[in-house]
Parts: sequence; structure tokens; C-alpha cells
Amino acid sequence: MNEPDIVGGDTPDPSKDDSIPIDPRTVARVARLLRWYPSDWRARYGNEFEAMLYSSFNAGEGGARLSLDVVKEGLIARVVGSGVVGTVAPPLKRARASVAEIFVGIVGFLVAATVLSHYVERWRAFPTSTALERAQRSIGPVLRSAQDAIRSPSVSPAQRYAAEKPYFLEAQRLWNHAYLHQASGAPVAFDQIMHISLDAAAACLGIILVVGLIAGVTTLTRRRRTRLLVPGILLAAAGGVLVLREIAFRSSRFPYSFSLEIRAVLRGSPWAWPSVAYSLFPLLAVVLIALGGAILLSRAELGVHACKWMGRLAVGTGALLVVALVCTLGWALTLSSQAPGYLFWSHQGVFGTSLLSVFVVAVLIMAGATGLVIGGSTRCLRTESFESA
Amino acid sequence: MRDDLSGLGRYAGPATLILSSLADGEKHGYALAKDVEDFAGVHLQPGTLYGAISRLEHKGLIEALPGDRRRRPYRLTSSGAVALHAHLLAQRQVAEAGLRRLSAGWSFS
Repeated sequence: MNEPDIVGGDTPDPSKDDSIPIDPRTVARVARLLRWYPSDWRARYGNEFEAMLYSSFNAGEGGARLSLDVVKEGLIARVVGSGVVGTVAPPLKRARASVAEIFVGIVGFLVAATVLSHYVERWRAFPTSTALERAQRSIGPVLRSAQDAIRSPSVSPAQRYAAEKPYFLEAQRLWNHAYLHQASGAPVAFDQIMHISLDAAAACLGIILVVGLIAGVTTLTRRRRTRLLVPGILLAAAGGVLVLREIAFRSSRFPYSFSLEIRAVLRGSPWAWPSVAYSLFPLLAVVLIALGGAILLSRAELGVHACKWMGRLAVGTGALLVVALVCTLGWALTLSSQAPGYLFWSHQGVFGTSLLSVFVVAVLIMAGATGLVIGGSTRCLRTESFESA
Repeated sequence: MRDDLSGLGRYAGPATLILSSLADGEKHGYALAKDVEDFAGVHLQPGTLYGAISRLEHKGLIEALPGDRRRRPYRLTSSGAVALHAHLLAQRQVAEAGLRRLSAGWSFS
């Protein structure tokens, strides 16, 4: 077979033509675009890709479409190179990425379930009792008279605010919950099973994090400290945030109105920081732990056996999450049949909305997180040959 | 015959164009883009072009030849030629069936 000639070898390439001056801004732009790609990709294709970009810019093709295309492909190369998807990365790297994916999935599920539980925690606090029912019915007129009172023109905005938030809403919430006195049987059983599943899943998460930390220490002893710098900083920051939250808790200043406190802090009033920290910092800590833990697990030198073992553990965790998800749906269905409209009552969810919005978002996150855990465990176990890594 | 390009999913379009361009000889990135523009009228952006090149090289359908690091030429491998052939045959089948059915029910002046 005859070797064909290099076709196009004589095609004018502006980047190689010394007569075409290269604008310093173009040089900076090319360098910026290249940074979207992972380092191993740049090591392999960086030079020729850079030349290609110069050629395109000099040919007047360097518009926003080119930048968007480079950014998109750079991100794809990063995701594929990290081993989260595709088969380009080595098997062991893909398995480590899958462990990180499992970790993120379990954290996401637990956070969504915890938030949902926070909003529905008092749903079965009302046993069947005629006396209690009568007492609860009496809340109605009281609420209405309170509502009329605070609408009176003689009430100052501050008093109205104090009456409305949080006491008025709390009374409204109690009033709504009063209708749940019939809830029993199936919803209670679903709730119990869901909580047991979540506790077991949390235990699995703890085991995965401990194994990741042990692998991290092993990596440190092998003097590859720079790989763990970012996850170390993120986990340490999470610890710092939790300490600050504890300080805020001990300051005995709890959120009165979150939006008001946020506005006060933004206006430069430091007195409101504990209530902002008390509310926001746990969320921030969870995000930092999820990020730090995921990067730690993908970078720590988890061995072949550890990856396979984590895959098996994740299969069990995935099953627990499926049980918890099914029980959450079962809980909602059976409770809705016993207390029609419960999910639609106002002031149960966020910003005065019904519980349905919280429920839908939480269930969607829980379903996605379950998919991540199951997908990650399958990829961990199906990795054909770790030894070739 | 198994079509190796089917595994590239939505990337099969740029991949087919690149393999078709390399079918008549080796080319470097810029020459590839210009050739594709000439014979197919499709302008491949640099990101798309090099994304497809890296995927094709990983699948062993093309290979890089030694040369200037800034103008590295690529060549079709034998498995790349087989995959391209199978893919184009399948496309031709679809195109012929579509044209036949169109001509039966529609007239084009």
C-alpha cells in the first residue's frame, strides 16, 4: 500500500507566518481558552490546538461561537478525563471517580431528606382526641381575631411585623397540623422505615469517608501532598464554618426574620451575624464537605480492593436509598388520603408556599442522588480490569 | 457489520467528516478543517475538531504521525477505514431509501 502524501501540508497557516503580527490580546485569549482543558489533554494536544486557534483568529474566525465551542469541549474533556463518564480515563481512575460520585449522591440524598423532614417533622404530633380537637378548632377564631387586630391602622409596622412573624405563622402552622390528627398506620410505618434506611445510609457514608481519609493519609505518606491540598482546605473550611456556627449558637441569638437579618448584615450591622451564621453555615458546611470529600475520594490513592469493596457497599446503600425514596412517596400518598390537601396547605413550605414545592424538589433530588449512587456502584463493580491502571 | 462510529453518539457527525477527510491522505488540524469546509460545506470549530480528533485517536480509528508539534499530521488507521466504510454504507442505504420514497410521492422541479 502506497503511503499517501500529507494533503494540506502547504495550506497557509497564519500562526506560522511571521509576517502576520499576533496581537498580545490574542495571545492572552488563547492562553485563557486553553486553560479550560485538563493538563493531560493540554500536554498531548496543547501545541497543535494553540496553533489551530491562532490560525482561526488570524483568519477572522475568532468570534463568541469559537469561544463557546472551546469552553464546551474543554469542560467535556475535563469530565471525561476525570473518569466520571466515558472510558477514556484509566479503569482505576474511573473507579475512584465513581466512589466520589457515590459519596456526592449519598450526601445529596441525606440533605434533601433532612430538609424535607424539617418541614414535615410535626405532622404526627396530633393524636386523636376530642378535647384536643375542640381546642384546636378554637385556634381558628383566635387566629382570625389576631389577623383583624394586626390589620388595624393603630398597629405600628413593627408591632404588625412582630405579630405576623413568626408567631402568627406558627399559629397558622399549628392550625393546619390540627387536621392531621387522623394520621396513623401506613404513614407512620413508612416514616419509621424511611428514617431507619436514612440512618443506615448515613452510616455507609461515614464508612466511605473514613476509608477516604485513610487513603488520604496513605497518599500523604507517599509525599504527594499537593494532590490533597484542595480537599484538605475544603474540609478544614467546613470544620471552621461549623465552629463559627457553634459560636453563633452559643450567642443565643436565633433568627427572628432571616431576610431582615441578612439585610442588616449587608448594610454593615455586625450585630445580626450570629443568626445569619446559625442558618446559613450548616448549609455551607455541607456543601464544603460534599466538595472536599468528593475531591478527596477521587484524588486519594484508593487501591483496587478498596474500590471494589466501596462498590459493594454502595450497592447496599443504593438499595437503602431506594427504600427511603419509596417510603417517602408512600408516606405522602397515604397521608394525603388520610388528610386530603395536606401537601397543598399554605405556609407549610418555603416563603409561605405549600409543602408540595418542597416535597417535589426534595423527591427529585433524592431520585437523582439515588441514580448517582446506583450508577456509581455499577461502574465501580463493572470496571473490567483495575490492574491495567 | 458493526459500525464503530455508532459508539460516538452525537459526535458521529464531526467524526465522519474527519475520517472522510483523512481517507485521501494525512492532514494536520488546520488543513483538516479547511478540507471539511471545502468538500462538505461544514465549518468545524477548533474545539469540536480537536474533541473529535482526541476521541477518534482514543478509539484507534486515526493515529498521529511524527512531525512538528504544532502541525502534527493524522492518518486513518485500517480499523478507521473499516469503520468509515461501514458507516458510509449504512448512511447510503438510508439516503437511497429516503430518496426512493421521496421520488414516489413527491415531484421536484
